[in-house]
Amino acid sequence: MRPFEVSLPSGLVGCTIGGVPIKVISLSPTSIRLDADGEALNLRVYFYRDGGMCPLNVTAVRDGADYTVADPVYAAEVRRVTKLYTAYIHRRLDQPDADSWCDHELPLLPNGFDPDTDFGEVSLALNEPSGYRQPTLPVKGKIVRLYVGSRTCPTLLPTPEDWRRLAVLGYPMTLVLPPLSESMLDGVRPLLELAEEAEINDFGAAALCREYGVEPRLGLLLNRRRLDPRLPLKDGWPDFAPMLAENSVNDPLWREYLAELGITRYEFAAANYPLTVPEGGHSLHIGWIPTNVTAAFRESGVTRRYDGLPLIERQGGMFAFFVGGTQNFERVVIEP
Amino acid sequence: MKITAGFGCADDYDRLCDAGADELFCGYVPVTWLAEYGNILPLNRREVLFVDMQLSAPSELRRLRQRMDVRGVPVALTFNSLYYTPAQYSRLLELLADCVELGFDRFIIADPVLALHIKRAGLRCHIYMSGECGEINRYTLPLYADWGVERLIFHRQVTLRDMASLTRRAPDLEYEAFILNERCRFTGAFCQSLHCDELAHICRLQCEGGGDSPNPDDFGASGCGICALGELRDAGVTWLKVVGRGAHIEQIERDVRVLRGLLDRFEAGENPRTLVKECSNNCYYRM
Repeated sequence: MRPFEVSLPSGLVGCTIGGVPIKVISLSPTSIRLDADGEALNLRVYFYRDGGMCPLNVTAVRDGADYTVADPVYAAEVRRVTKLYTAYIHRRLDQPDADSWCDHELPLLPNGFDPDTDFGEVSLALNEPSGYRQPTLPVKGKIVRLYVGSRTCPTLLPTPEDWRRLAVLGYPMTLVLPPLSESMLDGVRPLLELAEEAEINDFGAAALCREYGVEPRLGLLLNRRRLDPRLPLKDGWPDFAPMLAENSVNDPLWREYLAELGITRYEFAAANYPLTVPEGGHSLHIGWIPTNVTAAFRESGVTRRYDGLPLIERQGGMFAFFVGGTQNFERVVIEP
Repeated sequence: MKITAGFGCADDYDRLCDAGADELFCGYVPVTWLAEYGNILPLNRREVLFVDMQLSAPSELRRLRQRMDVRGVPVALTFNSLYYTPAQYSRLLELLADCVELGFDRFIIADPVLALHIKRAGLRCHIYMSGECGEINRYTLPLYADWGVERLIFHRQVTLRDMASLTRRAPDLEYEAFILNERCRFTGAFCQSLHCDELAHICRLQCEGGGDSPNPDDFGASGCGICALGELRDAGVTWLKVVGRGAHIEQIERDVRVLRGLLDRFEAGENPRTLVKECSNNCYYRM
């Protein structure tokens, strides 16, 4: 390499010639070495900026094994990205203070909303034994349905007795199932005999529901999207937020396939960005939403908190607090 | 049983073949994708941009293909994001078609919607469904046939007993299981958090009650399943996955080489529970 030439990761610098991606082997403020041939090349060089790549058109003239680029904007970009990379490789992301989220104003809303004002009729989620056996109704809004069960921990599912006791209250109920491993199947059959509809969180459960005449609803863990309370800290926020509005349930082929499985209604998790919701009677869950789930048995009673973030770990998962706009949803479900 | 290992640079292919890998896998992320989607909607699960761990141009694929023709060790490409947007599926099909044209027709995916699009487009390729697809039970197996899947990769937390139950029910599929590295306490299929350069992985955030971390450079320290080789074999698993995309090539090479040696001893009749002198206490299958 020449003096001041650096090799940078392909996520920081790339290049196309005539729209075809070309690998950048190394570059300096006045030169570039490519996996390409030619005496003079019209290049579109891409440099990392704010979570994406920004293009710059330059002309490169062959000079031995390299190409010379005489462009001050190009030179400035090479220096900028090299500096970024140098700063990055000197960071230690395994240290607790590597994330400076405490210095940023992340919205923290763990106690923050009034269901009466915002949401009117709501469904309430009960997701652990104390809730099944002595349900308290903390929301002020009118409760029209109960979501009963756990989408993260199979040990927290209600017993059939819990279900029957709750049914006496007179609310329609939706069974919430965790992702069901092979060995969990028999344990949920008694509950499927009692339920009329179920939120499912694995694809196989749709057929299992059909065996019992239970209507399956696409669960939060299958309606996958980026969920992280730290999204506002990511480079490029908020400009990239619209890119996250859609996910696979907006794809017609997938919706058609889900309908063949008997799934026409979807459960959505609130997020820290607007959602594009397809037509149909879908539900929005607000409150503590799982961002990470473990399929292994955990100490379900343990709750770990993360200072400075609306994030807790419990019930076999990591939960963050999200509240979203409720338009275009048939149901709003409060997750305590 | 065969070894499949991850790598991040075409130049590392020969070293890993020499170490004893039977198959390799890597990511392919051209700059044209990054220009449009950045790592907001990434092409695969390795979302970082500041670490070189993806192939990035057709010329790299061509060079790799030339080595594959000499060494005979196949390479699968990972397109294993948990989901894509409707607009991305058509772009992805074009990209996959380009990869097939260049001689790469094995794809590791995690999104069944992508599998459906591939099937509808009639693209002739081999689909390996990642454990990042979701939880698996006997009712999921017929869906894998719908999706054109040839190999099922068990996620990190499928028990040995469940593996055996599933493989008996669908013996025509190939089965792959984790054997080394990156034993995450969460299930990848349900991890919707960021894994970008700017922020620590959410699973590694410090919290009350957090414990000490093992030295990640020690063999098997971040996840190991060697002692379960017998049960994995009996369960019908034929592919053993060494996680390593983004790790130093010296580490992956060591892991593959050591694993090859241990596997040879196991297949010669040694008890897998005595193959490793010191347990890492980070076991995939016994914790």
